[in-house]
Amino acid sequence: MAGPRLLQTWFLTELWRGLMLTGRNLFKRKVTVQYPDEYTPASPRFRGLHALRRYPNGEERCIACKLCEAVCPALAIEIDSEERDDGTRRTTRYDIDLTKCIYCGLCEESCPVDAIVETHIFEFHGEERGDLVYGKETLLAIGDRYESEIAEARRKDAPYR
Amino acid sequence: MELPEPVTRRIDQARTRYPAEEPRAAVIEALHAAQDELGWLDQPTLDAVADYLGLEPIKVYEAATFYDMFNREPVGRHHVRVCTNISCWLCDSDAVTDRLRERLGIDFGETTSDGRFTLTEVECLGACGGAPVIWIGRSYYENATPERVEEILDGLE
Amino acid sequence: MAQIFINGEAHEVPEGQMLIEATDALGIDVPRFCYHRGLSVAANCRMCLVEVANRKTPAPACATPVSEGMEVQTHSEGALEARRAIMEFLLINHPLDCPICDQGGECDLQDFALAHGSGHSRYREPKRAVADEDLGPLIETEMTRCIHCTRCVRFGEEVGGYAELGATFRGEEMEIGTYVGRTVESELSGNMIDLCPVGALTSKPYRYKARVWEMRHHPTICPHCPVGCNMKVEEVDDEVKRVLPVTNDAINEDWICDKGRYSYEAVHHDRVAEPHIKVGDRWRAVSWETAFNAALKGLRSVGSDLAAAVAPTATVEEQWLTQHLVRGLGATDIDHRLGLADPDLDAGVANATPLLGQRLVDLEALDGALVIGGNPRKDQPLANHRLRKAVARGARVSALGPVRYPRNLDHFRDLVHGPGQAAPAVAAVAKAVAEAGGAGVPANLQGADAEEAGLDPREVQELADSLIHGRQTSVLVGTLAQEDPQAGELIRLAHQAARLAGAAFGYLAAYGNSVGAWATGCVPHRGPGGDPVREGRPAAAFLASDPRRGILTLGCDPLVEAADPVAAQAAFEAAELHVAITSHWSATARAADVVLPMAAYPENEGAYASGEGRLQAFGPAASPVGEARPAWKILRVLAHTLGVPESEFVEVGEIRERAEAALTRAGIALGASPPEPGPALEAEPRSGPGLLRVPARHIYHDDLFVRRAPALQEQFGRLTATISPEDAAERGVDEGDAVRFEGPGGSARLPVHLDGGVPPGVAWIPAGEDAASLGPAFGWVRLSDRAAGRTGEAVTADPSEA
Repeated sequence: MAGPRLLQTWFLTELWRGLMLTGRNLFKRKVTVQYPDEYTPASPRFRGLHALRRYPNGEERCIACKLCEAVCPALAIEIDSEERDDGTRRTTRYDIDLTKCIYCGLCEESCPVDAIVETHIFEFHGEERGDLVYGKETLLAIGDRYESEIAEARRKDAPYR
Repeated sequence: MELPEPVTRRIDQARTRYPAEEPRAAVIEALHAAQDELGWLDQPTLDAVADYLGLEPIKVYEAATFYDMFNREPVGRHHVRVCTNISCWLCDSDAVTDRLRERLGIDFGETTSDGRFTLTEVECLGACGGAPVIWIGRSYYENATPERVEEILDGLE
Repeated sequence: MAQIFINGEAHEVPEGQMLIEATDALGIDVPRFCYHRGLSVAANCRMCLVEVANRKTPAPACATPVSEGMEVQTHSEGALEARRAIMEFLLINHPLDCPICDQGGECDLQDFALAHGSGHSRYREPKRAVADEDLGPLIETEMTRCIHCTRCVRFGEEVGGYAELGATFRGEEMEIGTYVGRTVESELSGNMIDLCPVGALTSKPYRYKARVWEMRHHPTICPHCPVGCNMKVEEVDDEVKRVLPVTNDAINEDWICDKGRYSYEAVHHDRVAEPHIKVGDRWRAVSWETAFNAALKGLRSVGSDLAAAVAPTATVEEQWLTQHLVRGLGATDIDHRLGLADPDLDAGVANATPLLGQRLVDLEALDGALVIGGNPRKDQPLANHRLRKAVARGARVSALGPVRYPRNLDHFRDLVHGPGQAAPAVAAVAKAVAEAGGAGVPANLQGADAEEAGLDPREVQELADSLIHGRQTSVLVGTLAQEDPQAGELIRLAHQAARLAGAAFGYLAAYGNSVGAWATGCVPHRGPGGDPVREGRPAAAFLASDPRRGILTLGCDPLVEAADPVAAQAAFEAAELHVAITSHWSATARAADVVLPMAAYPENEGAYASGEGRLQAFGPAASPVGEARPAWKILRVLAHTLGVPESEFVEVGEIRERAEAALTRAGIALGASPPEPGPALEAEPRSGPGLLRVPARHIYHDDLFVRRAPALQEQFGRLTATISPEDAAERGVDEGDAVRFEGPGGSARLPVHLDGGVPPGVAWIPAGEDAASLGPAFGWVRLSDRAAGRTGEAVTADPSEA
């Protein structure tokens, strides 16, 4: 068995085989994405930064049922509720600690009114720890700003639910 | 408010038929007595009945709202009640009610502006043999037809 | 006993029991909405359907009596199918608003829908909606959620004693409500919320405040009345959210009264959050150190010239420690009976420890009882419930008092004595008992005369007969009678009447720890456990004409609660030093020099001795607001720093040991009889130039804590003067008029209510903030000359301005 082995060594067949693979891929379509100039496509189910949505008439959706708070495995959500002047049940505080959050999406799943959602946004930062505790106002503002994207993602996902 | 004497007399009479410690037994009789005298039962009347029987007012409200025969709104001089249940309906009570509405110019639950007639749709009056049935005051009018409706109404002042 | 087979297993169960009682006792789960063990059986929800062998249709377990050899299947396919069908019907009109429903998480309908319902709905038609009624400040309604189990209706009728809710209309249109939209006024109304298996009736103050699964539960004891209801405080993040009853068949069964249920709101209102000292005319919030130094300096300077007023709602530890401090400083004046108007009580009766003299459950078994000068319906609602049960069994319960209260149980005789004739009236009853007993009338009763006391001799005789001809009867001295200017004589006579009738004798105490206050020595003439002490003077003296240089108040508000608030005001003004240990701002706190903030009852730990002689301990449910500290810690520091020996307590348990020892020495035990009253001094007849005032307190205006609970204050409305229609007609006053009343101490403008239960010559003006300016609670009042102020002028009722 020494013959073929010797031949392989002398003729550098493995090197040529390897170079052939490189050569083949040299002309294929590239998969590397030049982040942050380019983005990989995200599923409509992508679970990124949270947002609180509103109804088209501007009314906040959240009714302070606290199911998300109860279901959250990381205990990242804190809600205080009260009766608003018009008699409806509303939050007075809705805090998500994004340093605790594990982005499991259970809050979104448990929400009976589709108020708390996870958006496609994953680029956010805080310069101090406290910056990553998002309050109700911030979450509503995110919801307002990205409502069209959020609604679109929900629409795309709807047939599979 | 005080109940008029004829009402209290009838209530007292009714009370004798039931155990003394059960004034609630006489509620329906008392309400009939009050309605016969006053035409309809407003809340002060119901309270007065409760007071007279020594009951909590809610006990009287319960009975008065349960039964359709008790009028909790003012009614006209003639309270026209038409059955539209299955037997009457099959015998074309629709034609009868249409004629009534047309002639009186009112819908169910309404009273004519002159206060003469109130029209009510009721459930079975227990006279299916003579369907369709109209009940006015103390009389049943059986086998009613649109023509007979005219006749009946003409006969009432 | 009958042998029945449940799910194939043989069980011995009492004959005649309903099936559901048997399964409950055996721990077999049968779902139910309308059945409740404290109410009558309605069998209208059909949720408890089970299969019984040889019956064609499923049977409701709540309305099927067990019989020998019965074979029952609670979880067979047939039974489950029947329940699934019932659930489908119930859910037809039930809204899907669980996420905003306060019942969510503790909802029977929710639980059973999960356990017994179908996963999807076949119902596509529109659901029914029902308009909500405003049932007042305590109960919130959402009647669309109602499933018509009628538990609330039956509760009002059977336990509340007065039906306020009913089922109006019929069939699908049936509605539960008052029909006319009036406030539910029952003092037990909150229990309807607990009973409601869905979210139709919920607590208004608790509305949307929290969800049930996030709350932590802390068992506690109600401080308000001597029943000592077992409750739990529920809290989220150290904030008290609500209070619920804890079932204890020996005490409160499944219920608590609204005072116990809603008073927790005071934890968040008008609290003293930091120590304060008065500098000139202004309050300054200071550190504990500064406040203590101010208090200590003052206490050192007044030395033994000190008096202490202790709340009867304080724990036994606080009470024991206060008297330890006060007596340790050489002072003698200490009292908890701020409202007591009889200065001779201690010299005569000597020991009026207000024990019930029997267990609460024994009240149920009575077949005759007399309540003297009290309104247990409002003063001790759950003791009254036991009396109601006795009446339902056929007991003859009578009442004797200065006014006829609105009752919720059928009294055998409900007697009203003449104005100021409390003691003579009891004497007349005692005499009638003696005569009926046939053993001769004792010498002291020879002169008693029913007619002179304003009573009908025939009715007194009948009442006496009912006490004698019972197997088990009881004479109970009510809350008002214990404070009457003739209290000493009255108690003595009531005891004598009980003796003569062979009845038990007892008191319906005013507060949750009145018994503890007596036993721990918070009375001027008896030390802890009745130990002899250098005798001091009662509150009626040191909060009036003869003040001390220093006053210490613990958790009370004598400027409202004292027998004479106007005199108390003068006493406070005369005193050099007033240290107020209080949880809430009050007139008294504002009149103090140093205010030390103490924990309110849900934040406190300690024990209360109930009327039946039960010592019940409880722990804190939340941290005290702000800088407040439990009063025992404050008192400990004061006592220790002032050099009172044996004051180095580290734990509340060490103080409790001493308090408990005192209770044992004082003979406080479950069902213990109150001590025999000594020979009373003869009381002076009451008189005055106008109407004699009856100061029976209002249930929601009783102690400082309740007075700071917003929802209960809304329910309370305004302090009202109730006078007889005769007196009103004579003076040209109408229902609702705001009238200026003049009393010995001053005047007050109060709305008038007319009630035939108040005899002519009497004005029922509860002791309270708006009436404090009138002076003596048991005084007289005159309608001012410009009597009927029908100008529509509003009566100021701002509690903070009192």
